[in-house]
Amino acid sequence: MHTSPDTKNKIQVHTLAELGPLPMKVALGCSILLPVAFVLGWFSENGMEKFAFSYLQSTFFFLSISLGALFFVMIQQLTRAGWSVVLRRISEFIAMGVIPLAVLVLPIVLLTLAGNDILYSWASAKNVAADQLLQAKAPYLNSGFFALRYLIYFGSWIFLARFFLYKSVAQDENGDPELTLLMERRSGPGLLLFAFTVSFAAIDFIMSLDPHWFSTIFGIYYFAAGLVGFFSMLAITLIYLRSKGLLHDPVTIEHLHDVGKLLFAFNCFWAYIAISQYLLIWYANIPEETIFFLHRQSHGWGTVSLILVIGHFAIPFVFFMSRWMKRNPKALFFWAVYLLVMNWIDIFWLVLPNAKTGSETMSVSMGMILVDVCCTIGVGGIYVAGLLKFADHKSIMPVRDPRLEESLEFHNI
Amino acid sequence: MATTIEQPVKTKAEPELLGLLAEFDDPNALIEASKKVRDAGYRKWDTHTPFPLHGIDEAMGIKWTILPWIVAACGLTGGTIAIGMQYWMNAVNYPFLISGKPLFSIPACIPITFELSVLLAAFGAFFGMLVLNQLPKLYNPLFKSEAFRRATNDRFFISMDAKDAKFSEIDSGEFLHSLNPIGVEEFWSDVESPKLPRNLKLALALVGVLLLMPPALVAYKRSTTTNSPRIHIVPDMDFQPKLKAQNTTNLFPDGREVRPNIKGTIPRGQFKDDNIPFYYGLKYLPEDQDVVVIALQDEKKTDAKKTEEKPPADPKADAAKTPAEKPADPAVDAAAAEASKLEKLPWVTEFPMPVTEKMMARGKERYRIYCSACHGLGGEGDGLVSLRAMDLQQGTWVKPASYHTDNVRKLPVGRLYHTITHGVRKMPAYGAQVPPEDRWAIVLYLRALQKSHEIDATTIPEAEKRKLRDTK
Amino acid sequence: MASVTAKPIDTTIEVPGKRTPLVTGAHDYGTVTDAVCRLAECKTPTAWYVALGISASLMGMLFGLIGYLIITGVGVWGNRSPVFWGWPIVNFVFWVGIGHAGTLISAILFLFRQNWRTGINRAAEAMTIFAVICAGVFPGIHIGRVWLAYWLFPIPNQMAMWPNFRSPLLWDVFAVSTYATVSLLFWYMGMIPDLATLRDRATGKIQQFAYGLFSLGWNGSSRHWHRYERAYLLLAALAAPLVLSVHTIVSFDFAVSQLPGWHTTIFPPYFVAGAVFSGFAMVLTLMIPARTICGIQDLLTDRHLENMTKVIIATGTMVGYAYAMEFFIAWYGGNRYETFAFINRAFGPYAWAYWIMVSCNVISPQLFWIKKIRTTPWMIFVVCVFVNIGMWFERFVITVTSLSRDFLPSSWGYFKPTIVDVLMLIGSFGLFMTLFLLFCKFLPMVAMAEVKSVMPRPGGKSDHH
Repeated sequence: MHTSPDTKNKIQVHTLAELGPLPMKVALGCSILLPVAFVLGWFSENGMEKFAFSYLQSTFFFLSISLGALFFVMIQQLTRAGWSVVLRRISEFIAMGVIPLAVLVLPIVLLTLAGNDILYSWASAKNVAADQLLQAKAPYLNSGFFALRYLIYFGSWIFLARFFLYKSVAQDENGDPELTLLMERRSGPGLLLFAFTVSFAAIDFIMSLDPHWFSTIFGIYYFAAGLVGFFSMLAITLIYLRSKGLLHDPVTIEHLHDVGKLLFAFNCFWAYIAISQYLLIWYANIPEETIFFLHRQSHGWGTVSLILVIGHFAIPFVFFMSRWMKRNPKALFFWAVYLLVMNWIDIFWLVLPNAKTGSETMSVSMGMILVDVCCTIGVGGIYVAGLLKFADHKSIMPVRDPRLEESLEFHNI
Repeated sequence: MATTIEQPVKTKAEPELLGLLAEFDDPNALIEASKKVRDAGYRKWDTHTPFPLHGIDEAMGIKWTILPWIVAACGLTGGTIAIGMQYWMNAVNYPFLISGKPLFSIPACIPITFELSVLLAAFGAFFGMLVLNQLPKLYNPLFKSEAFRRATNDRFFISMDAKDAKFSEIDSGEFLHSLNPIGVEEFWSDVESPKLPRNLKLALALVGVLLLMPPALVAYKRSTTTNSPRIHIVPDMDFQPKLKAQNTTNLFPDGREVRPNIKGTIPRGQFKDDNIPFYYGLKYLPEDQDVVVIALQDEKKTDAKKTEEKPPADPKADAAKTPAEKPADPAVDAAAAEASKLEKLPWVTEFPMPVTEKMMARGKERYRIYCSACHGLGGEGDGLVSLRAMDLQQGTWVKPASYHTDNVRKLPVGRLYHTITHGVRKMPAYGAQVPPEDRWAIVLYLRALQKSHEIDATTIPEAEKRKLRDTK
Repeated sequence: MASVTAKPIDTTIEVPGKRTPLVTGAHDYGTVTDAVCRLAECKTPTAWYVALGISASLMGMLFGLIGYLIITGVGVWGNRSPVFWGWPIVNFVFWVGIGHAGTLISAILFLFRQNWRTGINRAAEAMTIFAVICAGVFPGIHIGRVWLAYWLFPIPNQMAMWPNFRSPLLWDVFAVSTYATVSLLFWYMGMIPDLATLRDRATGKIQQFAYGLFSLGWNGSSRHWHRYERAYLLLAALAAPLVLSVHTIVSFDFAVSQLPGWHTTIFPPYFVAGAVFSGFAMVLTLMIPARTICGIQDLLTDRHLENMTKVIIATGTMVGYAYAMEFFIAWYGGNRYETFAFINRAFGPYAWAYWIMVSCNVISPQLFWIKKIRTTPWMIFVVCVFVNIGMWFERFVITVTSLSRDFLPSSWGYFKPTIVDVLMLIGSFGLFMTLFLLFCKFLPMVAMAEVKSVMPRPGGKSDHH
């Protein structure tokens, strides 16, 4: 703990290192569950499918959070937002999660390059030869191009996340307002790059699990899910850090209230995107499209779909709407954890029904959930450890951001 | 401070002091002053600003409004009305199927439910705000103050109501002066209540009368009759140059506007050859198509009869008969030949579907509706229609058949089905009114009626007998 | 006192950490009032009468044509098999789209605490309402027998029938009428304090009576303001999802069908983005001349214009994203009808319309990446006019290309508008401009109370952050 070089403000600089070694230990401890999930998968029926899909689900669950963070950071810079300065650094840290995730996603890409069709049926030449549609889509859905796109996506995200974190950290040292202007200028094209990479990544890694099915809104759906995940994660982190005495003074109830409002709003946005997709497919009733929802209404997946409708949208919409819920840290913490779980279920619902036993959709079972939960905690351990590593010895607040004062004084109307 | 002032006697001539008004030119000064007024314990007072002043709520101690709850309640009402309306109108009161959607389905309800919730909630917000603020209130004594005109421009005011328990003209005035305003003035009630201008009254009356006219006209028209024909607003839509059934035309050689079915076509839903026992009551369609034609087609039968009554017999009808027999009376001959041919057809003897309790109940119900009028509830041929015809001693009346003769008992179920479908002798065809499932159900019930007449009473267990006696 | 210097400053530059003032010039509360009220109080300029004369004649032409249409039938339009949704529906979607900017500025930017909206929100809201009125005309007369239009609403009728609530066209009736009502309430509610200002400044009897009647006896009471602000916030919170829902439901008109080129799941957000895009372009097209003519550049600064151009780049790029995604999925989906529909758009008989759409909607807003163009009003104006043209063509491309060539090549056709189609579109602009000119003359064009609330207080501290 030391004070900022900016003597005028006398702002104390805190780092996550002040939390001690415990968080890192816990995170690394959790990561042991990843091999456990693998072993569990090994011993259960269709276990490799379960594990492969769970692994994809886990990585893309955390990826959605980091991408949400990246979006948030860029949009704050673009709009010259003042209120959010105190919590922007935490968001920049979360965005850095794309680096460990790039490594974690690599096995999936390698597996596909090897022609394994456990996840992507289009990856194996045998399947392509037997399917006219796959042949038609081969110029796009082939392992070589897939690997190249993986490099483009993660390359862009890592570039953006590093750019916005390191420029902001550099400002901690020199307090140069030019850096703020630079980030503002870069965030416009950055968002453009972000929009296309995220949409196509969602199409490649999740939508192409069922290579026959297609939906133009899919990229936006994944993006909306990611924002819900990110704002939950942000609220959880902020409330946790406040409880540890870090960020307690700069991040006030007013900031939490705003994070809560954004969480609520983007949860509604997610519902809007989800219902738009459902309603259009339901109404037109074209078999090649309804198959997506048919898979998710049979083999026990109907219950999961209902959990999403009621749990992800209806319950938070009614109970999380009130001002009190967002201004009370304990209540906000509850809703953030709750919506993070719902976001997990959402990605689960997107990915896992594509797993097959023979030609049938794999039923949702306790075994599947167990493997997936272990897998998520394992991947999450590595992810959080990565975040802590990047955050190490960096201030948890942009202490010399020119708009910091405005953020510290921020009040809701 | 708590000096009460003497209430002036209310006369028309004397205006009443309603309160005091202090003017400020700085919003921050107003906030500071407001805090002092609040702390002095005044209750009936207000500040007036040209824009919503941040911080004045705390300075004045204004309580949080209940408006959000009004809005929530209105929104909920809107949503409920929308769902109820859509359900009742489309699924109950005027049910119709469209584009393969259920009569009532949640996804299709979402848009309108959302819109009505928002609409009513918005009404709640707007009108709720007006009601809570007691607006519109076009007359306000403050408006008489010339200085107060700037309350909506660039000046800030504190108004103090004389009805406040702590109010006194002198003390409160001094207190207000101590807050360093630009000026303090009193505001008074009017000597006499303002009157509505005469022109305005006239205009309002005129508008009222004009507004009343349309409903009056409608009410008049709805309660009277007229001899003049209806007005055709769009004649070319009402009288379109197109062909309709039952009209004549010179366009076609047969002079009919309605066109017969094209040969070889089957109307939608009329394809029957995939389930011959069910639709025809036959095990299979016999090779000899003419026989089938005679047996199955009503129109053909009557046409054939008509032609046979004339001396030059229709060669086609002749060919239909077996050449071995050729009796003298062609009509009787044709009927007999037909009857014999009907007997030879491969009638089904078993029901072409599983027989269930439900089918029996349906058969009973349909029998009572369609058959019992002539054949009687027990199937003895003593229905009310028949009884009355006998009473009237109609010579042409043929008593309906009783089911309890050996002849009828012997008939296979397919033949009974056929009889219902196409009629026999004087009995008309019911094929057009009773769908095939119901015809089979009636046949089933008919069989049950026959069985009930054959059974030996002694074989019925006592419990069953009691039940039969007890039920009417 | 107002601490803003009289020296002109470039409001489009913002030094981080120092907020650029939203009101330039040596303004205090009183002069803001004067600047806004001057329009309603001064002698009307001749130019206004000329403009009103032209607009009103075009409006008269529109009403005349509507009369002709009602008497003769919808055959006066170019709507023929297979394109039964021709220009009238294109015009409807176009105008409804334009009607999105106002409520977006008032509601969503309000919720996001974008204070710069105070300079433009009043005019944008007014524009919204007038655009929705223009939009409402077209489906109203498209139904053929106009006098039976009440069948669209769930009111008991002589045939004991109810509307079909499972039809997206009926959803549209509810969405557009709710939107019109709520926008009107929002606009009017925002205007009540400003009408009171006009009432208190009015000198003529008629003005005093009219403004007095419509300002409902507003007296600026803080207790009233408290509830008023809550109500405004609540209306904003209601209007924000509403504004999304309206164009979403308009997109359902197309997207719930199975027609290639219409049935695609991205339609709802894509239509909303397009609507905001066209609405902002229209606001700028109107406000750039209006702010000069009315002399309110101090309240509606270059910074306001620049911020709006940024929204235009953002939404224009979203629209471009949707075009790209549609094209990609049309190929990726492997449905040959869908693929054909898109190839037909780009290279078929309507390729000219498609490329007008792409160049106006996707390429022209990209010019706003250049700061010079973003800060030069006449250049903004030119780009915005192109965007307006492009957005009309977008609706034309969607409606007409898909209908003119669907599954059955034997029933393909080529849509040609009639002169009535063209004149009605022009006439709708007349209706729009007439209403807008009347608004400029008689109502407060800038939300005075809101501008004052974001001005620095005499003490030096601003109210909002």
